[in-house]
Amino acid sequence: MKHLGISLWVVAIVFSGLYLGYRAHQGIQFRTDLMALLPSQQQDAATQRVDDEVSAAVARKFVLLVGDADPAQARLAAAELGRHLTQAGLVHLSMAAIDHERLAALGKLYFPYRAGLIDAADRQLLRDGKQDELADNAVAKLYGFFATVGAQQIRHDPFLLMTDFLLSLPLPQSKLHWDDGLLSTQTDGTTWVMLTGTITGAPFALEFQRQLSDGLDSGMAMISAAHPHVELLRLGAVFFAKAGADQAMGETNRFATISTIATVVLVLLVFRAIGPLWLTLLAMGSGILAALSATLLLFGEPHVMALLFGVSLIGVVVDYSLQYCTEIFATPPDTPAARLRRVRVGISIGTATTMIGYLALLFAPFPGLRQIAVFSAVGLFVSWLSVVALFPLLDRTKTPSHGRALLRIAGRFAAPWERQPLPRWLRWAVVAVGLIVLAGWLHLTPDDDVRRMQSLSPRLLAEQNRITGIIGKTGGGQIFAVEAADDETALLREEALIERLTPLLGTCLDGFQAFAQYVPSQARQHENRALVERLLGADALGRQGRRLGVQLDDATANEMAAPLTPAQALAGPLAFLADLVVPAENGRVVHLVSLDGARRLDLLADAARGIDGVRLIDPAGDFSALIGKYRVRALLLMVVSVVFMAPPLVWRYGWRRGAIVLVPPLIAVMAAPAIRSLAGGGFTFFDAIAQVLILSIGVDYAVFCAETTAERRSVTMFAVGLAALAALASFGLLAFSSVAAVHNFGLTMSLGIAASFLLAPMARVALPGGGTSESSGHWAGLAERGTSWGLHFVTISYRLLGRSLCCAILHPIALFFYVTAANRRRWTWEYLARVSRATGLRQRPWRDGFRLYLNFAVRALDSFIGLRHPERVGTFHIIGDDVLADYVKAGAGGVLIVSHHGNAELCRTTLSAQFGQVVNVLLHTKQAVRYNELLKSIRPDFLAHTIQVSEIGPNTAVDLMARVERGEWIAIAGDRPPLTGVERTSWVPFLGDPAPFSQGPYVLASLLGCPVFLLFCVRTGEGHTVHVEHFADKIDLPRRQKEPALAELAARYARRLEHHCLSAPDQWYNFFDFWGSPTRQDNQGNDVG
Amino acid sequence: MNRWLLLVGLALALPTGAARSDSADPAAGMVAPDSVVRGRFVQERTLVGFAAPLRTEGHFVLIPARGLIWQAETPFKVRTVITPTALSQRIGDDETTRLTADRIPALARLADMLTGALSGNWQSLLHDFKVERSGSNTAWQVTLTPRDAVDATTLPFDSISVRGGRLVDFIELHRPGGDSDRISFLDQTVGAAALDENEGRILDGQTK
Repeated sequence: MKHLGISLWVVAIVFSGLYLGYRAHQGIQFRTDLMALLPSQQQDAATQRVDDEVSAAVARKFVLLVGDADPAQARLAAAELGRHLTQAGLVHLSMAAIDHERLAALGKLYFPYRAGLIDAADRQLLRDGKQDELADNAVAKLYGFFATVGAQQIRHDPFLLMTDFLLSLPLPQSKLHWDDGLLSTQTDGTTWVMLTGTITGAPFALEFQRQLSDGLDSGMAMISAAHPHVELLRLGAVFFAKAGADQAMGETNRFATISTIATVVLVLLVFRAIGPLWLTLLAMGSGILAALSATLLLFGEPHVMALLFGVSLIGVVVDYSLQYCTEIFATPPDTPAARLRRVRVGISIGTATTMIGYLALLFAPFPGLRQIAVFSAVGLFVSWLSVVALFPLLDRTKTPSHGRALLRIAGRFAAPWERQPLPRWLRWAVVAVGLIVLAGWLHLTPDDDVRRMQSLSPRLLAEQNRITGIIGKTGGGQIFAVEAADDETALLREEALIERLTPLLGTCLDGFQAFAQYVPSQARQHENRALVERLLGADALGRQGRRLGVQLDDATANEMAAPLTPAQALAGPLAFLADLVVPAENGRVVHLVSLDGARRLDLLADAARGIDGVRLIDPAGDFSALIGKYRVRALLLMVVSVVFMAPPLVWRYGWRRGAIVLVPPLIAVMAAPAIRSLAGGGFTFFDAIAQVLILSIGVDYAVFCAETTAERRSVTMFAVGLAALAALASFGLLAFSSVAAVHNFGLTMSLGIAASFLLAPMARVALPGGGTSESSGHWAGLAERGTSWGLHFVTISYRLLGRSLCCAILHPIALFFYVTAANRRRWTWEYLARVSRATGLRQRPWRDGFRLYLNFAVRALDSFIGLRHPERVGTFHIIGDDVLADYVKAGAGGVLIVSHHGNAELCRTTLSAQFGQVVNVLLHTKQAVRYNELLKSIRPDFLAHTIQVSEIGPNTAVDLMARVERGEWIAIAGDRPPLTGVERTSWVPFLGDPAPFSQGPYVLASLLGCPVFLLFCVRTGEGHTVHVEHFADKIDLPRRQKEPALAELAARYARRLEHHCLSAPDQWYNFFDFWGSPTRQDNQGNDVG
Repeated sequence: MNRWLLLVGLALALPTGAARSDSADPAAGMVAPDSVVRGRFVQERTLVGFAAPLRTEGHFVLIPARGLIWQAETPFKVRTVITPTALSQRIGDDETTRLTADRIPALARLADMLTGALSGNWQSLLHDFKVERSGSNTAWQVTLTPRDAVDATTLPFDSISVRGGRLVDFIELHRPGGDSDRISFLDQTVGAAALDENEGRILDGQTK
């Protein structure tokens, strides 16, 4: 087992090291965008892709403003910068507005299709049959003050349909005006020239960000040389992303360094030796090495945020090595292996529960959280492996001479919890905490605004505000996505949407841009054409011409028969419309309708209702809603964590104490957000995630406290305190992050860790009623522990199936008790370990323990059969009964000292039958109650011969003496747990260590003055072998010096018991801490210490 | 768009109360910013290929600080209103055009130029036009030619001539392609009658 651990560790480290080296050689890429951490939204994949494309398209846009007091300088500088960036291949500049050239090109594009292109007002006039009015308007415009129409125009477009259409186009406008081919504006004496477009790379790729940043810097350097007073403002997702990435990377480095240094200093200060430091660093280092390697292996490109959180793992990993190292302060001093043994179980359970806590994050559909989960779980596992496999080998630390003071202080944190009842101030404190938690949770306000979670660089935000002030609104990011199978359907749907949006202009939004405004659907173009042909045909044309006094060309000259298509439009001056088209797959078409100044998003979403394939996308709002949903889910994650953590705890501590162990972490989990909310913070998704982690760390501490004993309490508390300090050094650092999400997380974690530390000793609270009810393992205990219907079940099964099949049924029953009785199982293992040490045979605790339990179940069955159907009890082989027979013949009664080895109960009936004598059985009160119930149902006649005793006093003695005189035998157990108070014990060696043996039997025998025999009944195969051993003819205890004599008697008995135990080790059924200190156990063998 | 530059040009056709001043100093303000100028106009538009010029008559109201109402009466009732915040055109009862300054800030600049021209501030026009003055203070003539190379889409004028005495009496515009406009101003008064309620509302309504 030991070697397995070491080899596993070595393999893990070597592999991780090699893999990391290999990846580092190739170059490790980290992702930096918050987007990658985000969950996929709850939609189908195709819709998700569209949303992603849309977000990506928006994210690639950028705006640069180049400003100078002199307009000419500003224009020159802007043009140079634009050229520089374009030549470097970093950006595509676009003309965001229309200039005269483009307008002319636009006219040329539209002209052949003009019959199909009519603006909304004109179309409405034609539909209403008011073509005369339309004609009049055209003429009126010709006469008007600001006639834009010249002779040529009216000749080609006599009804000014084309002109109106052009004027109705929502060509992008802004506060900028056209000036020499560049958009510019002037405010406060500075002329700002705008450069806008899209970047060529991914805005969230670190490499591209660096290239763009370098390009801008070199460009600025270049133009500053020629134009010294030039200023640059920038706006775009890529700049924010870079600032965020720089910040995150910087913080990761800083925090990792500070965290490590703090831990090192802490360890050195406390231990004042270099040994624990090396060990701790070894555990930390190997854990992180393996974690990094595993994350790279599984995720390819890990996210830098995952690393940031993972760095805080340092604080948790150090827990376990500290637990081990602080054992050096325990008295008495011990070997490294022994020290490890003391804490091994606690460390293992702690690792398991913390790993479960982190692995619960795997259920979150957040890729980022999954990375954190894998990173942490692997790191924890390898660290645990280092501690458990390597530390005993490598530890050379000498016992320190300092530390008493620290232990005392630590002990003070734990002591109040163990007083029974709890001291008043503590009770009030707990109540106060409860009130705070309640108040805090009532006050809790969830905060899901995603904008508040990222902290955008303030400098960039200031620039953004300036830019918005200079050039006008830059759009809120809301869009309608129109999805369809082809262009025509998309345009039709857009037109339906436009009809619904137009009435909302001014109230819900300021404007919108849609493809269909520039290129109407073919259906509409056909409709328009039909209207024109019908209403503005040759007659109307003639009238118009006569009115104006001009020869009008045929309006249909040079016209294209086919309508204008989007493809044609995109090829020419309307190329900027490509911004409104998203490439989709399967030949599906996705158009975007971008909104300006969108306000009432609910009304806008309603406007899209009923139109197939149209939906409103509000990236920031949608995401905030999603974050809110996942905030709730994170709480569910915590419940899942608890559910998964419970089995190991119940397995180890039983139901009641297992629940107690969970209480301190749960209180800490509730308290942390409560305190933060009372201090004015909101409850964000990241707080919820922090709760999951607080739970696992809190369980760690509680487990350590539950595992320890009263003497080692201070050491354990000290270790927990150290662990909490180390954890604070890591998680607490995160509270200093400037990223709001990380800051919240760190703060909540710190509060939770502090609360966990303070409350952890609660796991050692003395439970009322003496804890889990245990029996001393008397054969009646099985019925006690199970239920009385179990007995009926056994009866029926035996009658139906016979003994062997009954035994088969007992297997699962025994297994159930084996698995669920944690303490008793532990004590059984301790006993078996001693046996194996004595015999020198290798032990297999699980298998042997189960066999013992099974034997116990079979023993119960045999007892039952013995009582119910004595004739079927099987063969009995009695050894040593000749001596006994002599005594019986003489008519004297005596004392039979039985034990919990084998099935002494069976002897009762057998011996009675054989010798014709009554055997009385002495039992403790509590067992007697159950036993009597049992007897009543099976052998009522035995009731008379079962004596309950709570103490052996003069009255009992008289009664017993009478029975002995009559020749009856008194059976009493020699290895039962001693009564407290009255009865005394002698500590005599048993299986290698001193154990308390009751003095009762010998005292009784000396009182009765009768012979004493030892009785051992062992099951051999299907039958039983009874050993009768003569112990003493008479026991005389010297008046003074009673103790040594009693001790000698007890020692003799113990030796015989040992002999029989070693020959049949899996038949001794004492399910309690036989070797434990008597002050720690009450008469039920319960651990109250 | 070219429209606004067109507006600039035509703005010069407005009665430049500046010319009223006896002083030849172009900087002297002629029409006080809140005085009301009223009058009638006759516009004749000659378009190439058209049999006869298109003739329109109407009246106008001008307040340099607030804006201009240009109401054509025959043959079509077309009202055009320009203020620093918006430009609108109304044919009959329907508003056919509305451009606002917050979408097209150049409009504000145009209005500034208008008022500048009206108060005799030629400076703002000097940037785009060559200004040639001749004649005396009581009977003067100004010819404006665009500085930059003309193309049909930016400044659609070959030249603009303005004639006036106390106020502008006559404006002639020549466009490339052969079209020309002639606008005569009649019965002009300054400050005699204040704005009536309706007119005030029309000008204020522009700010909507």
